[in-house]
Amino acid sequence: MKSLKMKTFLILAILGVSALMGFATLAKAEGTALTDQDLTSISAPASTDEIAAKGDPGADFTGNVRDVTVSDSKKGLTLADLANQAGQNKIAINFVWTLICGFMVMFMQPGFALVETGLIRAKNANHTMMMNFMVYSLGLFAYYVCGFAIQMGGVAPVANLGGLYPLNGEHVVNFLGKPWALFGTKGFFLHGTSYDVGVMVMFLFQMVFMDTTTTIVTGSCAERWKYSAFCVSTIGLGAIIYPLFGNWAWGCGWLSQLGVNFGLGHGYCDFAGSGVVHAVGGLTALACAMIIGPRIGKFNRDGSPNAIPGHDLVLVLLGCFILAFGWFGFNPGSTLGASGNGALRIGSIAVNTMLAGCTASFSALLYMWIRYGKPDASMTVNGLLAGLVAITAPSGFVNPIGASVIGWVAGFLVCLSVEFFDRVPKIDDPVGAISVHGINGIWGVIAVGLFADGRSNYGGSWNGVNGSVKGLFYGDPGQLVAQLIGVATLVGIIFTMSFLWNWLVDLIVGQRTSAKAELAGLDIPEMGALCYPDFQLKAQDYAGSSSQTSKAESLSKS
Amino acid sequence: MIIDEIGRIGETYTPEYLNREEITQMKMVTCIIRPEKLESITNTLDKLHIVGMTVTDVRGFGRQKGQVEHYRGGEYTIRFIPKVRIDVVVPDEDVKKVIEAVSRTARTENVGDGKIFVTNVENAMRIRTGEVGTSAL
Amino acid sequence: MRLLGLIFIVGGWLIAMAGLFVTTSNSARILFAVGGILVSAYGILGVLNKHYLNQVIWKK
Repeated sequence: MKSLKMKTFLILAILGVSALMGFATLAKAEGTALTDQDLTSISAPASTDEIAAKGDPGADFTGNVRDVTVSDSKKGLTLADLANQAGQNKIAINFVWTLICGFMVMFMQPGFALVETGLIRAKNANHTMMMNFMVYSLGLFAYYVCGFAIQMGGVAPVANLGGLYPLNGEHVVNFLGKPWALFGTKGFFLHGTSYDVGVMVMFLFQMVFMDTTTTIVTGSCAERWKYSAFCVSTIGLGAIIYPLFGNWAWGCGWLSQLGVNFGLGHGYCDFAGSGVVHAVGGLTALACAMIIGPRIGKFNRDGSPNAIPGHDLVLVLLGCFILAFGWFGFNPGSTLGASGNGALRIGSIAVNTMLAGCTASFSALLYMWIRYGKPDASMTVNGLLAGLVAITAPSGFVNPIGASVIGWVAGFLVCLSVEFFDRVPKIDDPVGAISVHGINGIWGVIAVGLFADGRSNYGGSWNGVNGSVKGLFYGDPGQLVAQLIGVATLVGIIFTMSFLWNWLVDLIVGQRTSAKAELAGLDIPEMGALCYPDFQLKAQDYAGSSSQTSKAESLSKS
Repeated sequence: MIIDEIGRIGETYTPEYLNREEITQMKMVTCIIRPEKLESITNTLDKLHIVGMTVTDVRGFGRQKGQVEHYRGGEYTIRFIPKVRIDVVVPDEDVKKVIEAVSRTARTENVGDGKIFVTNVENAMRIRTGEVGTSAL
Repeated sequence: MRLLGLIFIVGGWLIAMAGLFVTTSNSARILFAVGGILVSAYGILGVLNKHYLNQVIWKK
């Protein structure tokens, strides 16, 4: 009994002393807490007069407490000012990063233009360059009018760009007990509440991605596409088709919510757009190439394909490097920032991009060398681009080994695909756009579901599901399901939309030029001016073309 | 002045153009040669004091077959081989030595050395001065 | 022929989506999705393209 009393007393005493000590520490902490009063004692290392007198070559005095924005000069520097400045700096860093990367992606336009123009014949060069030139203006305007709103109208909140709170309109349909977010409803004409600094940055960045999609289509339809039909087709792609899939994948649409609604990993994950940009572009290219038909002289009567060499490989290889450079804006820029929410992964993303490109070009080079005896420059270029396309979706989620493997597969895939499209469905693709962007875009989307390693961390969650994106090889088969649903949507719905739209354009405007115009070269009939008026253009001497030309001429006369 | 078979003396009627020197014969020698031989053949012609030639880039084939190449997985045949065509117009008496010199320089004993053609030239004129005939060469 | 092709293509997507509602097993859903993609691909390259191959210039 006595020991029990002693024990109770001892326990109570220990508790009491620790409580007292705790209070004492709290009081001490309160006594040393920072207040606005303390901030007044911080002074800059040198006064403005001193700096004016001696200059500051060693940056000893530039950038100090004097440069923190003070909201009320009477109150002086406050804690609120410090906190606000820190927040604004993060947003400023992210704005600069996103904008610079957006400018680099815009620079991919000349890259695409050069690659395509180098791979077609000189008599069509003016027309091809002009198509690639106008995708910029036409696409931009279509996107400004309604595309951006449809894609990003409901994307808020976007932490890295300051919230983008005005973009809070998304049209959701309930079906079979699940919500299906279909398209955005805010941001038309960047008017009203969308007149917002963050929204402007997002618009520019998303617009240059849309431009990449539209310029892919010009490649597969080059040398026989009517310019008027191209203009109408591009406007439809930039205003409706691309923004719809963009909304489903990136604008908080139903594909991105597959994780939240169906437990499929983190929903459809597409870091920089293998699916959204390249697969959409490649599948539209496929639809257009099918509707327009092959070039005169490409296939013989028995269906065997003829080679139609391009006119300037220097342009092709130069364009490829310009694209590879621009891709450094495409992938790393898709963090939408360099500060906060895992944005410091930009270096890793850039390295993944490089690696995939180089392994893909290597495997394409090897394939062509071993198969045909000599390395083929245009296929090596296609290989590099295929690797870049394939890494676009997984770039933020994989490690360098995964990136290398993805690139290696992409190189072989594009070579096999080019041969396949020439020989089996007999679809004429002068630059390989369907193989590089369509097929490898789909491979990139699937690769996320396989190779995402779960070591990335973008603010602790992605697409509304906590944790980091993991693929099949790292333990999450649900992610692969979500990616495959994305592929099925691309192939089933997006292809259908593109096909129907281009079918309509064919009925109303007519997609293909006349045989006479095609044989003469589109430069004069469509554009009114030769691209190379100072040079004598060579007559074609490739096997098969003579029988085609006589047949085409007799057809054009009728 | 001529004396005919019965001893009559008279002036012959010679048409103006027959009297003048320009009716000396000229020939055009057309040589189709390998492009890499152009430099050495030009030097050869120079040594023969042949002044003036026209050079054109042409494509063609004789018995030399074309080449099969591959492009993006498809086969194609380059049937026409690049050649150089040299046209020189020379007086009749120089034709033989020009042909001998050019063929000697251009011969590599391989298929594809080329051909030399000789055609008649009715007349020639130097545009600057109006000279006609061999003085135009 | 074109309409039939489009039916195959959209049908493939419906098959893939059906997998989400019919089952909750990831492996089964993968099979549904891959099956749907293959049906769509057949619709594009097999059926729809066949229509266009009948019209191409080198067949006439």
